[in-house]
Amino acid sequence: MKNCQIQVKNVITELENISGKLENFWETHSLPARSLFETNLVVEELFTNIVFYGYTDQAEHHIMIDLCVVDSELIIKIEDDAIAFNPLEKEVGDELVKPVEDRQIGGLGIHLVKTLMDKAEYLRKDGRNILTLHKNL
Amino acid sequence: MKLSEQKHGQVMVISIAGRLDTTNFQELESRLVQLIDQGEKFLVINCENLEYISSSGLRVFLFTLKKVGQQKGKMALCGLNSNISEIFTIAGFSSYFNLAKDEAEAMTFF
Repeated sequence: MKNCQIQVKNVITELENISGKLENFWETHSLPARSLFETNLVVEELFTNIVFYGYTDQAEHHIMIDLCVVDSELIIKIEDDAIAFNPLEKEVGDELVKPVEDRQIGGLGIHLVKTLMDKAEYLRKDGRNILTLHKNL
Repeated sequence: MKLSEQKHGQVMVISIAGRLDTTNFQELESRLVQLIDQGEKFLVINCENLEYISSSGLRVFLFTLKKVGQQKGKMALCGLNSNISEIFTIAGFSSYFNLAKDEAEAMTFF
């Protein structure tokens, strides 16, 4: 069974911890290098959003990142107790085709996530956000 | 992330090595702002040893491009690996930047 559970706190420095664990998982199961880059990126974008915008209190929270590979499909599940937020509803609109002068500096994270993954589902359940992403390896 | 700088005539080459992410993009951004404020307006960012970038890093590149443009300067990027090139394409960035395969080619933009 190829799976890995990463539990982190809602502090941005946990990114190093996350990328280290992802690397180990890829190495252990000899998964393709490109998907490691893409998974790092996708997890960073989502984790960063949760940490920066998800909480209104100063308390410590835990974010769960579960990875599992079934046949040639990678499934990433990210679960948190932050405010309800469905990142899949966010649209980038015509931002990408604007001339550089009019182009906004930010707002790319979710677009990258949606493009790099093959399938995504969002669920709000018992006060938790559960985002499941699928990627064909 | 490691940064290094080298001046070639009027062009300042900044080389980035390692990972550029949410934990360190501000370090790069503030260095670039400092250089531009000091009057450097012809920049090459050498990404040959840049292994990873997230949207935080993309922000720095776009911000710097705009800032250099305001100074009537120019900027080029070189040595993007295939993963980073893909991210540039998805972000719609490929048409904004002067992209070169290596530093020598990047110099031809100036």
